[in-house]
Parts: sequence; C-alpha cells; structure tokens
Amino acid sequence: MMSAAVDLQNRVLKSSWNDGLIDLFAGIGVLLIGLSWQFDLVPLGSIAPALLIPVWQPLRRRLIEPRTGYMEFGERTRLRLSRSLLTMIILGVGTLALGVGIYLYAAGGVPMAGVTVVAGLPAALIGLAALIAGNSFGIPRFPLYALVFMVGAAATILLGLEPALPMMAGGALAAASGALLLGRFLRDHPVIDEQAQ
Amino acid sequence: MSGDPVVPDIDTLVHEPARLRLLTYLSLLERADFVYLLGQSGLSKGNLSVQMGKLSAAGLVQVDKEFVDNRPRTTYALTRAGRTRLARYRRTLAAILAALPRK
Repeated sequence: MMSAAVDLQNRVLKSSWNDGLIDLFAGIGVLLIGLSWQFDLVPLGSIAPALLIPVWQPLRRRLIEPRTGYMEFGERTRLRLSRSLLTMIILGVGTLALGVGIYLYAAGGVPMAGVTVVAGLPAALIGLAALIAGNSFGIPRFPLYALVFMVGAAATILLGLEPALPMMAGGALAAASGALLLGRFLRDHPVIDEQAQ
Repeated sequence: MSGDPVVPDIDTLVHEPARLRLLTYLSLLERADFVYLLGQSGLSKGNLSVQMGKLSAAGLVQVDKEFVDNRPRTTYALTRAGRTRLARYRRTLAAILAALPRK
C-alpha cells in the first residue's frame, strides 16, 4: 500500500505539470526531429532538443512561476526524476541514432532485410519514453501520447511508412495539447504579486 | 492533585490547521515561495503572512527574500528544528489517537 507521504508527494508532483508547458516542449522537440527526417535534414533534428532545453527554465520562470509560484522538490523526488530523465535521454539518443542509421542506409541505396521493422523503432522508443515520463512525473496525458507513438510505430512497420510520420503525428498532438493547456492556464491563472494586498 | 499528565500535550504551534498544512507542504519540498504556498494552502495573503511569521519566529521555518526578474520572491524552507518538531508532533498525535476508544 502506498504510504500517505508518498501519495502526497505524488500529488504535489502531478500538480506541477498542469500548465502544459512540458507537453508543448516535448511535442515541439519530437515534431522538429520528425520534420528534419522528413525533409532529409537529419543533423538539424539532432540539435532540436539542445536548442529547446536552454529555453525551458527561463520560460517557466517568466510564464508559470509568477502564477503558481516556485518550489523545489524534496531529495527523494529529485532523485526519482533524475533516474527517469536519464532513462529518457538514453531512449532519445537511441531514437536519434536509429534515425541517423536509417538515413545513412537509405542514402546508400542498399536494400535491407527487415528495414520496415527498424523504421518503426524510433517512434516505439519515443512512445516508451513518453510512458516512463507519464509514470514518473505523474502526467496523465503522456500515456496517451505514448499510445499514439506506439500505434504509429506499428503502422509504420505494417504499412511500410516513413519513420518520420509517427514522430510528426505524435509530436504535433503533444504540442497542440500543450499549447491548448498553456493557453487555458495563462487565461485562468493571473500573475500574483506577493506584496500586493 | 498534581503530576505528569498521562495524555501528552499537543504542540499547539504545529497543531493549528493552517500552520499544519503549511508545514506538511514544506516537509514534502526542499523549499517553496509565498505564491506557491498561497495557491496550495488556499489561505489569504494576510493569513499566510501571519502564519509564516509565527513559524519563522519559532525557528521552524527559514525565510529567504530575493528578487527574481525584478519581482520580490520570499521562499520558505523547513529548518532542522522544524523537521524535529514536526516528527515529535506526529508521534504525540499518533499516541493520542491510538489511545482513543474506537467507538
């Protein structure tokens, strides 16, 4: 049985992601990777996450914290999040490596046995990362995105689609959902000045 | 008649509902600012300010004031004394609750 303290910690953690910013960022990141693959700009996709990560903290400080406040998680939660983040980074790097591998193979024009299975793997890995993020961060929307990536991966394998398509579909869904949530959040949560009475 | 009370005294500084809620949040977090505690506790600004002032004066909470993006930010963190006192309160309350008749 989950202890009351862990349950409370999980509820605090879960309430931290209601603004949709994480959905928007993750969605844009995956969408950019998918678009770069689609238009044969694979190296550009590799740097997309590196471009987004430095923007995250200042944007959160500017948009979210004046409305819902600032807090730092306790040590146990931070450790748990670090472990999940490391797993997601490994899965992300695996996805990019697969993408680059498929790109280089396709550029060589050599037919590869089982290439359709490999083409579905990037979306499957991103789906797995979304599932882990949803579970670790307590974001109920992420398992839904994971499902979209997994279905996309299966469709890519079965129908012989481009590997970029499920990435773009899942990324666009997460980004759109995040933009909607963020818009609602900004509308419903005015900036609070702690000194004004 | 005199002597040690059989039923232990409750720490009233911790036991007050608003303060207990604030201390519980701070026990779950490394630190949190005024706006975060305001939103989570549902207290008014005035009440929150008063309660945090009492906790700070008693040494249970550490207060830090800073400016972030030209806005004042007051952050609070539970001190070691605060954690000890909260743990003692928990034990006392558990003992009292365990001694109460079920019906």
